[in-house]
Amino acid sequence: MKKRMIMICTLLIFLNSACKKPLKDVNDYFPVVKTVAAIVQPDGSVLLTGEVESSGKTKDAAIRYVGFCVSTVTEPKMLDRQLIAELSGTKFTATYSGSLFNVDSIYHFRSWGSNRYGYAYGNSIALDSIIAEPVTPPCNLPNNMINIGASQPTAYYDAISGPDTDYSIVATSFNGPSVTFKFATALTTGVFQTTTDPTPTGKQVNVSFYYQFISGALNAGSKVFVKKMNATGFEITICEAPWVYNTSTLYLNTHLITP
Amino acid sequence: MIALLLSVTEITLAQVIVKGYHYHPTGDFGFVFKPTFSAELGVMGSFIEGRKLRGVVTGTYVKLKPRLNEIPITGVRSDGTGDHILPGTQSFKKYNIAQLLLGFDYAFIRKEKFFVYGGFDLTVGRANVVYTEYVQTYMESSYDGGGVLGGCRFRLGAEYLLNPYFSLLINAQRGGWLLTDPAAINFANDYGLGVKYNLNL
Repeated sequence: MKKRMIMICTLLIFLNSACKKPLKDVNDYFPVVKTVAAIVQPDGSVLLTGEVESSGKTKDAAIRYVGFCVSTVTEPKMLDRQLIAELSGTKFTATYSGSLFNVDSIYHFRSWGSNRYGYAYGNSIALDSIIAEPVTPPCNLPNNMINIGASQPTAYYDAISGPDTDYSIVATSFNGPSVTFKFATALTTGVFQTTTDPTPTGKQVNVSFYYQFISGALNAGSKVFVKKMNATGFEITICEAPWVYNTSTLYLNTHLITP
Repeated sequence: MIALLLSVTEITLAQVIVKGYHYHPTGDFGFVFKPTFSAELGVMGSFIEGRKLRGVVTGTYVKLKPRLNEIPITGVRSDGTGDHILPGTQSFKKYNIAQLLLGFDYAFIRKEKFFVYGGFDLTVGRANVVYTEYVQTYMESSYDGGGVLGGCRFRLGAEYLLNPYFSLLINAQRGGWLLTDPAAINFANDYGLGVKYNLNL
């Protein structure tokens, strides 16, 4: 009798073990994520915070990827300006550059998460009038003027092109210096910093110029004030930025508005 | 081998069984497919006349339906700008399984009209599968085919003799099988109720 009971129990355990019994609601296999906040930063970028409420209700449903997407439609899809975020505990954050946004549009931000079974979206958060805090340069210069310092006369740009696909702007004057601004990323309202490196990174900009037999580049560490005017136009101001010509330190002032 | 011998022997003493059962895919198989009803037909031996072991030969066909019309899947593409997680869908149009099962039952409890038994089957068969898979900007494919399957099944059951001709059977079973194409290892439970008819009387 004991032997029979052991055999029956063994079979019952095997039959009931049903390893990984299916979940009643198929949606429970997928992650549950929430878009917690979308906050406009002073430079016009948008800081997003998301949270994983569940990685899926099975034991093996670990989160594989989390991230955000953004679009002007109410329910953006995963590939719309996709940002992949790092998960820290249950929270994840990412920042969209302010250069992506047009002040006249409404943007919808949405989180998403994936596990071995698939993916799911979080809620959408809408933001309008995404704009950086005003940037006020310490000098007030006339439009499109350039002065490279010392005894050189003040001139005015005759042609301005850019920002180009490599984020460069070229401002040319027929009777004065021509200046090239090389940014590392898409322009947005904010304060950038000069670098002598011809391949800048982050919020750096390389400013070089030439006029007749004079050529030079701004020293590292000066401020370049950028203000986004509209979808393509930017106002750029540099006040008393030092550069070295032979052994002398000269100071550049310029103010220009891109078309 | 023992099962085969028993089965062949017992066919001469054959008693026909018809069983309806509720099929529960488990694990990943259960994530994709809904439980469903099906039937199993076959022949089996008898525990009467002092026997504790009997052979069982049955066949069954299960037509599975997906729990989701489109399962949201992802793909990963890496390029110079980093990784991109690509959304997509997988959609099963057909997943039909035909199985031949050959095995035996062993009676733990044997009364005059009532038996409780455990059983084991080996199974061979075929699955016909149709599905599509789409990952945005990355791939779009469809599959229409199938493969051979092989596996085993355990069972706990009880039988009650209603009269010399008919018996009632109740079974709980757990099985697993390997499918060659599309490659998969699937597990399922089933719970069935059947009738056995004695042809030899």
